[in-house]
Amino acid sequence: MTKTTKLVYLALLVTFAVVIHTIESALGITLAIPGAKLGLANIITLLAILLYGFKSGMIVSVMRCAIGFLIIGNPFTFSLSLSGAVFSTGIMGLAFIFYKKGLINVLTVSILGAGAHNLAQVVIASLIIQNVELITFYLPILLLISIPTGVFTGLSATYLYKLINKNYMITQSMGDLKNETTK
Amino acid sequence: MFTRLDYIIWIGIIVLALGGVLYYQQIDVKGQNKIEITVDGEVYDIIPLTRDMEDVSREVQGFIGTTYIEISGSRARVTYSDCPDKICVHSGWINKPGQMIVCLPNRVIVQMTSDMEQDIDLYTN
Repeated sequence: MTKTTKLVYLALLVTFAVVIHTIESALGITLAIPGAKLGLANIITLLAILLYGFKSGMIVSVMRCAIGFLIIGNPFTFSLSLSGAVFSTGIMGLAFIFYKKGLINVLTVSILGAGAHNLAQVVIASLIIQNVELITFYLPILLLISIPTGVFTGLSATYLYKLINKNYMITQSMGDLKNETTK
Repeated sequence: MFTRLDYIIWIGIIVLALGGVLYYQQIDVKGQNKIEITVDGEVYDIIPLTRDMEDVSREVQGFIGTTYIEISGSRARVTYSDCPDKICVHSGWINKPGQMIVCLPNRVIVQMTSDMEQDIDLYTN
């Protein structure tokens, strides 16, 4: 029962992430800096990590990129978004350990994720285009941008998490899962 | 709610980012500037910039299509490109050495370089 509940909620999270990912890339919302995005789909990845842990967050972000590729059909966007998603989810998973120990804030987890996302994307972009100066030119600006976007996604994920915690079904699927892993 | 480690990480990122941004801001423009066009890692064309030069336009065959580059009044921009996202077109004008416009899908880089790249305020010894 609880395993199925978790599966259903993870699938829902993947769906939300795919929709946000597709709409964001279709609208082409660019901030002041070309190539910088809000990274709204990161809200869902962070939410999945907060709810079900690192592994589920990784599943959600990889599935989001794979299904997003089927919809958007752009291999460049795919290679960039996949590398960014995997690296940022990895960093957020690491930061989540510190968060659980009460050493850092959720917003810092989110900012580190956004920064890691940008770092991975710039490195892959410079590999594709065979130019190292791309990293030194774009990375500082993108890192600066990752603070407001990280705060935004972090706040959104926290409020969603608080709201979801009122839902009996989800909290039960989380709680029983924690019991299963400790057994 | 925020711990000391939070502040260290936030300030670390801000200092790193601002340092990089300011480094590019204060590069000197005194030297002879050039526009360097690179396609797929190979130099396609180098256009020296002079004070009263005529407008130059270039059509570059890239990886997936054509990129149209305009150079006017010692600055450069991409006017049109066949790429899907058009990030290169939205980048606008570049007018300082070190700045670049990148078209990732088409693998085209338009970069402003300088002969006196070493003439940066940092090395004033």
